[in-house]
Amino acid sequence: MALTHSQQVSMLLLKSLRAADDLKALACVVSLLELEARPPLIERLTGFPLKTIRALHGREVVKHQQGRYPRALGNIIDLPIQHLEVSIFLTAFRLEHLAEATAAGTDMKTQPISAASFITAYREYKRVLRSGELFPPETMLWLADEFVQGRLTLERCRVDDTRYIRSAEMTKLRWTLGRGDCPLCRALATKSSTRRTLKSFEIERARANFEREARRVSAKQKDAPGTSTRSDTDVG
Amino acid sequence: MEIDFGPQIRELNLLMWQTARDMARADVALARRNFGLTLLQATRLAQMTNLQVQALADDSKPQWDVAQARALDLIMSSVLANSSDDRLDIYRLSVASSAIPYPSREDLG
Repeated sequence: MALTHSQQVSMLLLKSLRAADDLKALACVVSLLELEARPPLIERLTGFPLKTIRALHGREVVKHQQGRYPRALGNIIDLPIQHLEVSIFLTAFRLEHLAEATAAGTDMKTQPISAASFITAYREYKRVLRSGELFPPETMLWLADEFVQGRLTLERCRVDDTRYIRSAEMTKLRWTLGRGDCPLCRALATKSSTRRTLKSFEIERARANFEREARRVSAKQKDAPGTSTRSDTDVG
Repeated sequence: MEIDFGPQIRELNLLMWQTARDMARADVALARRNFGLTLLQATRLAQMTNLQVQALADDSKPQWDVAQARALDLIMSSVLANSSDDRLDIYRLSVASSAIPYPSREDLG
């Protein structure tokens, strides 16, 4: 049976929409392969058939990750510098995810995590990485899931304004129970910035540590050759 | 004698608005998130010509914000002291974390 002209136009339009959507999804698949994500994650975020993704993954990804990926909050945040890095990922992810949820007229919890928002946030995380230890995309998607479900929150430190990941409830963080305190406050409480610490302390002590650190770097500035003796450091 | 930094500031304003306009032309949502613009502002900016952007940037005061995080004081002192302290990375990440916009749903609506 021959189609009418308007039916033919509709069919063509539907076909072109499908092709455009597939193209977008394929671009996301390529980006996720570049980030060395595993096939199940790519399938979840793009909806592409797992068989196709596995074939692409086998061909494109040089370093095949196997085994379990880190997904214990205590392990992820115990080093302050890594806590800061993953916090930047989640803050960037929240920005993208909230924009998508607002555009779709849904809330953050019901809005599915999109490949685009995840890729943007993960690229930002890779860009700011300074610790040298990159968590795999699977760990970061787990963090995003926990955040969307309300089990993780993003707090702003009252001492130094740092935005950081914190557990919504008391949880086991390696050898201690807690929610995860500000990474900068934790780093300033120890002499070595590479020390792993999850120890909690009062806000007054955190403030005292911050002011002591400000005095320390200010003194270094005065001692440095070729710098003005005027101190402009003013910690509020 | 007071030095006039007006021309340099105008130039930076212009560069910022040109970047924001180009971004708004490519992706309105991205420009809104990066520059804190409303939908109407981003849409209007995308339509502006070079002359109109120049008129917008014609201000001797900066039209951008510096991320006002407390750790910025620590970074400045460390940089002035030529410190090779590895804590500098932590200060920078602290500032970066607080500089990412944290809008509410109403801000984006």
